[in-house]
Amino acid sequence: MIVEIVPIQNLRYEKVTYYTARVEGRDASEFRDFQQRMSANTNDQIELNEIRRYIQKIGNEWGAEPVHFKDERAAERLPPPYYHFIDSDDPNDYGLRLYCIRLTKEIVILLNGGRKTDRNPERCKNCSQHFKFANRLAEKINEAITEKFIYLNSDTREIEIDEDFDLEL
Amino acid sequence: MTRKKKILVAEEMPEFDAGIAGMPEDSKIFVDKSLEIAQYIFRVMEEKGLKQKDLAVKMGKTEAEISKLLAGMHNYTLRSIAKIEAALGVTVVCTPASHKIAFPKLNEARTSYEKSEKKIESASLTAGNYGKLVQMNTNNGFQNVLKAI
Repeated sequence: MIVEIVPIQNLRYEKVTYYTARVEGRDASEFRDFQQRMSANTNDQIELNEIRRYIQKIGNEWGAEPVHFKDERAAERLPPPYYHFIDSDDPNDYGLRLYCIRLTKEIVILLNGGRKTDRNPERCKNCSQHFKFANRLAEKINEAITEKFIYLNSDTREIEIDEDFDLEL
Repeated sequence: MTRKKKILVAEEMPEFDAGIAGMPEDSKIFVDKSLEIAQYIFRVMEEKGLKQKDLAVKMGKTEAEISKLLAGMHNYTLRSIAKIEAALGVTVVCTPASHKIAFPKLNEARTSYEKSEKKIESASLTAGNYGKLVQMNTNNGFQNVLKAI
């Protein structure tokens, strides 16, 4: 599958430029799909909005410092590691997970996720595919950066991709 | 040779901003304060060259417990913040009363600023006296606040 990197127009903040990814042939980009699916349920929506607020505040005020992101192998996730959703009585409810790729303090790619129901994201029916996708994409992007097909411009806070290069997973 | 760059087509996500705009105020405050507290605790730890392990020793807890605390298995409680304050030797949560003790000059300047604000409120704002009032407000209050900071 070919994956396109997509800048998010209204998520270009003072300190962070956010991107998402679109898989060729799918209608919605990854982050849009996450927002649409998580808007359907009230409990999910409360957490979704809190994740949105983290994204906004990190983008405007704090920058994408490692402290605000939890490592998920090659990728990362939001909400931050110090956030714990307290409104659920279910011990297997770990809350929403939005997998993302923190490339620098200024550039973050927001992907997809779901409500985590198992300690191990690979065993969670809601998160497994998004966790794996985020990790495969992060590895691919890291390779492309090393091979200089992708360049992270710290002046413009933008991802620059060679015209002839395709991100193929 | 300069390589040609791929043109990345941007996407607009109005639902993102609409979602935040519709959030209850307490939810926004929770997120904002958690970010501030985390940023501050980690900055102090960095400045003092403290690792998670050192904080555990200072707080009389195991590293696993500290890891849980910092890694979000628990939300910050007043008790956990108090333990962090004691271990780091800094104030993490500032109330108006503690602010008064820690920053008397700032407090004095603020009182003066607030008094001048009240004068502005009570005065009739005609075109003639508006400039004077702004001047008074600036001289008596805000500049003092800036100096104190």
